[in-house]
Amino acid sequence: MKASQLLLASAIWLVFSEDSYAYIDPGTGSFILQMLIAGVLGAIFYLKVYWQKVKLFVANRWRSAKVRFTDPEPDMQDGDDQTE
Amino acid sequence: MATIRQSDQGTVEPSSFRDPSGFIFRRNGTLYRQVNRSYKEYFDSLMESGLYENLIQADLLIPHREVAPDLRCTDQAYKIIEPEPIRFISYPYEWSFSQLKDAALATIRIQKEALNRNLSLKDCSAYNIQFRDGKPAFIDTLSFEPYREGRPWVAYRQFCQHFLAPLALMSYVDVRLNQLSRIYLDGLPLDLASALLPARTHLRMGLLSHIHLHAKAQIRYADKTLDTSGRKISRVGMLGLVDNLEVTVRKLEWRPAGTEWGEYYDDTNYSASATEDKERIVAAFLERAGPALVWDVGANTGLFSRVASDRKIPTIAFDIDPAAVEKNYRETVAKGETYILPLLLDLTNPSPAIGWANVERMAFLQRGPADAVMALALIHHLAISNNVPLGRIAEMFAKMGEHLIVEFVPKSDSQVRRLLTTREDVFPDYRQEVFEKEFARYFEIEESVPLQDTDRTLYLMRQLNP
Repeated sequence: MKASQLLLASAIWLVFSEDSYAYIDPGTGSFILQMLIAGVLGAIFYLKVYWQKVKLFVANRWRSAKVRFTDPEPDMQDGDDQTE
Repeated sequence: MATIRQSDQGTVEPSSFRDPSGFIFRRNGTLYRQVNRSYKEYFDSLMESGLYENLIQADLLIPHREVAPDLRCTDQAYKIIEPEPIRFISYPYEWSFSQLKDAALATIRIQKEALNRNLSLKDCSAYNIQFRDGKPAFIDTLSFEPYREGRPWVAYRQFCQHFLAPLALMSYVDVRLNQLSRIYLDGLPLDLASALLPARTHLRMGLLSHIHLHAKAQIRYADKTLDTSGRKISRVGMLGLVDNLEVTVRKLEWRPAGTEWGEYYDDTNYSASATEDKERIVAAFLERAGPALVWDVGANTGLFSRVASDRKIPTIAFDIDPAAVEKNYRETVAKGETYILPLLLDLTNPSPAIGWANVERMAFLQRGPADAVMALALIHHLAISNNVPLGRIAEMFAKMGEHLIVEFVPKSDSQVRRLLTTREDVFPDYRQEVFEKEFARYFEIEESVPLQDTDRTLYLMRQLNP
């Protein structure tokens, strides 16, 4: 079952449930909800971190490739005292 | 200040009674926190895990120093710590949208740092945040507990009720709904927030999960006892939950309807040179009074508050307009200012003492007095828009501070004429000589200077019996 389907199913189940009074103890519902959504949010978080790693890897490769092909002496680029 | 318990060893602060881990008390004028023996293990983990250092370096936690154990208040003490004092205690219902948002993001950052060190926040009350040198900082050193993988986040409900729900309502419905925090001290009931939010917020995954479904779950399970021991939340699930809360908060925005921040209007009717003149006079008065703390009431976006705060005088800039406070706060953040704190306050109905036994959260006047009060272009609003007689205004200001820098705006001024266009002029006493006479009952007028190009006068006064 896909993450979004799971969330939708939880939503429908909760929306059509009977009402009582939250002020008696809102804590139990907060615990249950976390358990329902943590799987989905954890999966999203995992993908997000993975995607950031991919982007960082590509960016690093791109930068090092650029340095290799366009700049034979990269350590000269940073100095303030270099002359044209 | 009101107290709930006194002993020879100190006076327990009235707001500090919920947590069995310890409490705040005052002894010989200094504020201390007692860490109880029952919290020993958790307190040691905070200090030894590196989390304390980490949070102090990031300005996210109030620093403390350990003091001699014989300063203890009761015999359950494990340690006594002296937290760095906060200049002015403020509450969520006095914060602008971005102040509450920054407080929420600081709380989330703390939870993320804590999880990295296998600790977790057990409280997420917005009252655990105070503004310190312009930035939100967590003040409850006893709110950490070990993170146990599998267990839900015990403070999740509080985070949603104290931060997410009011921010969503301010962003989607009306910024003034932060005043609901003044009624619901343990955060907004989520079923109320869910009912007030527009239907389209169901399409935002964060708001759908953390507010709408959360409210439904709370209602469904309110009267049920469930065994949740067999169900677990993995570490990734916990990180995902916290990260999603952060993303949801970050996406919430607010700006006054139809305006850009740069265009937000400062409602003045006098020239640039009169503004400069006013700045010079205020600066000279501040120089003469030499205050250590200034309250600027009716500060608008903080133009004259900065005359004080730029001189490194801690200044609280109060205004009734949420947009003015928001703009002022954004400026403090943009400039990295540390001496000015913008806050929302309606001086005609200032924050009352609320909470348990009416002593848990302090009234506005209990948090004073200031050394100097500035009330510029304000008297006519209080006297004419709000029908407060000048004598009563003087009496109120006398409760607020020793020095008073006040501007009298006469009926001939266009701002006052504007207020009178829709009202019958039932203010025969609204005259400069009556103003001086009424204020002279409480204050000595040390100096009065007419403001150039206007009919206005600025006064420096000092209380007769401070």
